[in-house]
Amino acid sequence: MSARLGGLRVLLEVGVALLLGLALGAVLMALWGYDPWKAYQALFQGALGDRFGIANTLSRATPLILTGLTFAVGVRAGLFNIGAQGQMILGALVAVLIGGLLDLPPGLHLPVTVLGAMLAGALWSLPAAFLKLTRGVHEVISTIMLNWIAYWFTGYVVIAYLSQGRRSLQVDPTARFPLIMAGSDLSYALLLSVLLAGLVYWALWHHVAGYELRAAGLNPEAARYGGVRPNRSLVWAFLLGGLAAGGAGAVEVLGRLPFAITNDLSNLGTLGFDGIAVALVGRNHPLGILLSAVFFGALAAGRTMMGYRAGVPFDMIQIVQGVIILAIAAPEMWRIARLRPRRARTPAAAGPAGTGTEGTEGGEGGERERERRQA
Amino acid sequence: MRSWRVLTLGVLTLAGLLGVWGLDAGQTAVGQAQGAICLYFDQTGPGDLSFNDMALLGAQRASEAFGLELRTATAAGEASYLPDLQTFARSGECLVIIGVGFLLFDALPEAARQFPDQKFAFIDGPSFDLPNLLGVLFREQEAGAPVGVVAALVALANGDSLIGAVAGAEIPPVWRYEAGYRFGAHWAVDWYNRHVGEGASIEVRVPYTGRFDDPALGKTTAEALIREGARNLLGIAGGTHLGMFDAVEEAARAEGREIGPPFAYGADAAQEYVKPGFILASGRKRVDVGAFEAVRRALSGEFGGDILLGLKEEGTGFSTVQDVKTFIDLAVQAGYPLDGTPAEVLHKVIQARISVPAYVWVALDEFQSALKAGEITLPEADTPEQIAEVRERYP
Amino acid sequence: MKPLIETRGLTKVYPDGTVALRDVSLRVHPGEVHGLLGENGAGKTTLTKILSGLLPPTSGEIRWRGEPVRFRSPREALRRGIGMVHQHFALVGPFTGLENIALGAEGGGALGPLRASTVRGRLERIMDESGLRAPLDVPVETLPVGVQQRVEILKMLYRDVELLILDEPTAVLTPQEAEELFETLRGLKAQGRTVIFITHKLKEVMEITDRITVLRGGRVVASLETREATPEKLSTLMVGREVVSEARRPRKATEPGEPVLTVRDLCVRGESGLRAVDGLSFEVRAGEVFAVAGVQGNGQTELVQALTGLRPFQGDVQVLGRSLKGLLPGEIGALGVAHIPEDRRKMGLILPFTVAENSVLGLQRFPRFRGALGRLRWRRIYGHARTLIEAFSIQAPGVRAPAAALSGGNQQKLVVGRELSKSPRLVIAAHPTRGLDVAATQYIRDLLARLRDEDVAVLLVSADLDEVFQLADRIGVMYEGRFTGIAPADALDRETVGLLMGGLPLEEALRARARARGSGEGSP
Repeated sequence: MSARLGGLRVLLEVGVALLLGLALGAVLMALWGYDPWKAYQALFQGALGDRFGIANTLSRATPLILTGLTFAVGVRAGLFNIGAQGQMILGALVAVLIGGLLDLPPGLHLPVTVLGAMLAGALWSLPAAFLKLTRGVHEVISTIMLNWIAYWFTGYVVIAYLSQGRRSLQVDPTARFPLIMAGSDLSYALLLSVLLAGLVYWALWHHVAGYELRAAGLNPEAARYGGVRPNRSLVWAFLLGGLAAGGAGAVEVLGRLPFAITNDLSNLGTLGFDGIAVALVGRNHPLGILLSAVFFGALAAGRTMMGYRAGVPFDMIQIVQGVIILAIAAPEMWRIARLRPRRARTPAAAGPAGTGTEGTEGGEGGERERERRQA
Repeated sequence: MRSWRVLTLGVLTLAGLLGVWGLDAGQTAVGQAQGAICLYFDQTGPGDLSFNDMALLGAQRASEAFGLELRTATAAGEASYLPDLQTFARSGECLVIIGVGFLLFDALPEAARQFPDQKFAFIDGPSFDLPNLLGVLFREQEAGAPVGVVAALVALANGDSLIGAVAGAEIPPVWRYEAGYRFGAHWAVDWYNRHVGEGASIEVRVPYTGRFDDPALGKTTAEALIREGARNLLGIAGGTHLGMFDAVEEAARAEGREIGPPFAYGADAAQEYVKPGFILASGRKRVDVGAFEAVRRALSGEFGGDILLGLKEEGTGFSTVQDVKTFIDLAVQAGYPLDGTPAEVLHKVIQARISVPAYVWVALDEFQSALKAGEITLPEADTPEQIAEVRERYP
Repeated sequence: MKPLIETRGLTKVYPDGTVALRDVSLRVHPGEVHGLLGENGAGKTTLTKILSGLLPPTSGEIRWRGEPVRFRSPREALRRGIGMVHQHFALVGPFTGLENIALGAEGGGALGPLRASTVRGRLERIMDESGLRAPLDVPVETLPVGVQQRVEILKMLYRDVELLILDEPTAVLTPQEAEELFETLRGLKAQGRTVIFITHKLKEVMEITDRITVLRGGRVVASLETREATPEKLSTLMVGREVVSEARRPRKATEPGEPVLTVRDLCVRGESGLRAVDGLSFEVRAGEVFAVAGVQGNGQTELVQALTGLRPFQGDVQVLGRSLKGLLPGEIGALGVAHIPEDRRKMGLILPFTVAENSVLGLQRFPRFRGALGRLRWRRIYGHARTLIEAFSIQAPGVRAPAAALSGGNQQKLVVGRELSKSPRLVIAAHPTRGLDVAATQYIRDLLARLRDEDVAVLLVSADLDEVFQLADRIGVMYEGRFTGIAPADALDRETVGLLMGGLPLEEALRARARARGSGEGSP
């Protein structure tokens, strides 16, 4: 549904939301005695002020693109897959293992490491798919638990077997992404993210499996009628998402300092969860996610400068940025909430043995009519 | 999908416009400030009433003393360490960039390598033999050990045989604190058996929370320790152990006490004022001295290498009543809500010190004199192997 | 006698313009079991929804004990003493009967907790008085459907309803359970309570009711004492005697060809686990329209689902000699079976998808539209969509517009067009013109007739007797999962089919018709 909103409409919606968010943030800062103009100036300068700022922005966007894709593919298939965090963590672990322990020739080491990490992510998405298909376990529950398992398992492996001081051993230079721009940490990992976004776009809109995945996500009953096997689409969505999330882990470990995983996994942060917001703002469309990730990257890149140049304390920066993100994500969040299959209003209306349909036929028609007019 | 092309174009245009605007802003900013003190915190940031706040304090003092502008920034996350440091270095506005926190272990030397003309200082970390990087290190053992002596003796006086600490992440500075604490505790047991009683023993339990910014975790960790019978707890976890203070206060109040036991012990700053009556003392790690020293050296010619601050340099030690007074004043300045008037707080801190047997202070004096005189050598704990050995020797 | 509840000139127009009720006046007297009889779409459900406060009427009034009332919600109606038991129960599965009954009941007060012992005491009394018994301490989901229904009724009795409305209560019950329900209703009547009983089953209405109101096309066509009624009379009232608006489509000259669809001893379980299709056998031959008539809910849906791979079945089903056992919908489609589903919005189309995307739903894996590596051949898909728009004169803003933007008739044309583009040998059309305007209806019926002429086998499932008689070569009437009769269309008339739909076996129905015709001719 969202993909079909006109581009100008989306632009307008995002623009208005962004302005609202900025305004709200400005009011907050002004209320607490900080200069909003100066703060936003610093934010933009840090994020886009020069080529280093832009490089920083893009570099921060790189993993977000991937975890954003994970969530978006899930939504397209009718899933609320929040397992990117755990899959990303395991991807990072495998990246450290292959990148740090395996001795491979320079040209081969990086691709093998990336591939291994992506496969690890995909593998870790399978338990959730399996539990959903066989036991009907909702993916929100299973992925949350799998996230924790991945977190503690990786923390254990890092501390018990790989620890060097406060982090694991570093990956070999041969397994690291080369820099695009010296003096920044923008690496060719960006290329991987963009390629994967393109691949996901192609898969969803130019491949029959993607067509079926979207069909199953929007209307499983109609999809089944149309020869789609919704279960299969679901597994595809999990796998594709897992590949992307695993890639995010690789990007983070192979693309920048400390080229390792810290003992508390803090350098992996919450990339997986951040992807949810990125996907929401990007309207769950791969191209939208590219833009949205850049937006988030810009916020992250400009964050430090808000403190450094405008003297805004860190907590206030986080509040302001949170307000901006919320404002932009809100419309899509609302749409997703409405897309969830609605229950028929009366039990009789849902009946297969349905004299019930006689009344609701007209009633629902009216409702749809209203929706259409709104849209 | 034509709509997306339109959208992409729009956003890129917007980005370009903003970029130009930002560029202008940057250029005007450059002219204004020359040679600022740039203080860069890892993501824990100031507000911990301890390590980070003290670095800020030292930098503020230096800023006043030398008439330099002070700039601070807090990292948004690990991924921003290097780009941030690069940005600061590239701006050319910083006399010295002081990285606060051991977590900058990889990013600081990398930035120093990339910008050889920029002076960097690393609070809590080494210089990596880089000429433009000053390592500011502390002998945390010398802060932890006296606290260990006092904690153990207070515990023995109350009939406990367990003391504890809530630790942050497994990094050398925390290890050194722990090592000193364990050593001091066992030294105290010997002293006690010689002078007060017989056959006493102490066990030291030091759980690591892995975090420096999670008071809730610090509180639950401390509560667990208290349940196990550890009623003297040292906090060596930055912001995390603020929660430990709450846990100790609650436990004491639950027993109807306005003054411990149980007692907490602070670290780095003289933290007694945070919970007067329940925090008996603090191990002092004068991060402020370190930050000040880094600026001083950046101004003078002698830069680079490591400076090691210990008892002798007044870089580490045991909090004195005077220290407490200083920090009460600072807290008042910072607007931190005190539990009573400054005088009342100080009175309560002193009351707490009087409430423990006097021989505790006799033993502490004896220990510190011996330490200064070099009669006692504290164990090293810079590597996992060393701390493992310490834990084995001083359980 | 003063009626307990009465409606005057009740009219309901839905927002999309559908007129569900026209000037309905209904009188239900205290202490009677009142049957509400009618075909699908007659307005029964709309009427009961208005009575129970679920829907507001467009105009007209409701009088409760002679006093005009207006219900803004079911809760308000309940407070007056009107309770409705829906076909699908409003029970919380893991809760016990007691908990379900207490849930939302008034009397606990906003602050005071409802005490289980109080509820139980009152319930025991109610059960003793009514003779209606249900276990109170077992999770209701573990109970058989019939017992769950009793819990629902007890729930209403606990709320002191005077008027109990039951919507098709026997639809989900076994015959034994239905008998028990009738016992219960008689007991309630003896207590002086009033019941409105909605059904389309002639036998039931004759057995249990005191008075009957027959609805057709949103109007009350008759209201009569049950003892004055006969099944024939009711069936006539129900299906109407209107002049058939359109003549039967001209039949093809040649005889039907070989069987395309052969069904032997088909059994299908429905959603509730009961046998919805119970041992059907029939065949559909090339160049023939075989119509399955019947009141909806007698297994037609499940029959279609089984034939199209959407529901597992027992028995033998073959299309052109190939067994459909275990085949998926896509595989059955590839055999040359087109399926026009009964609900285009829920099944036939993916409304947020574009017209182009919808134009290949089910055809997406055909080599025509799928290139190397599973790539979609968009150029051809768009071409295909444009061809459909052209060929079936679909009014659409464009091939990139979402299907939701099309009107109902154009949506259905899109579905039909797509299905026919499969060049099928067998077309399964379920209620293909339901809810469509006259022009679209006409168009689609013409199309089905043309297919038949082109030697395609057509299985038409419809509750619309006009449609059935216009198109069918042979008619099978389904009642409770079986055929009450299969006969050539020429051998049947509407009234006979009406009797068959009400559950009378073919022989009996024909006899009754002959009798009726005789007496009808003799009387004037």
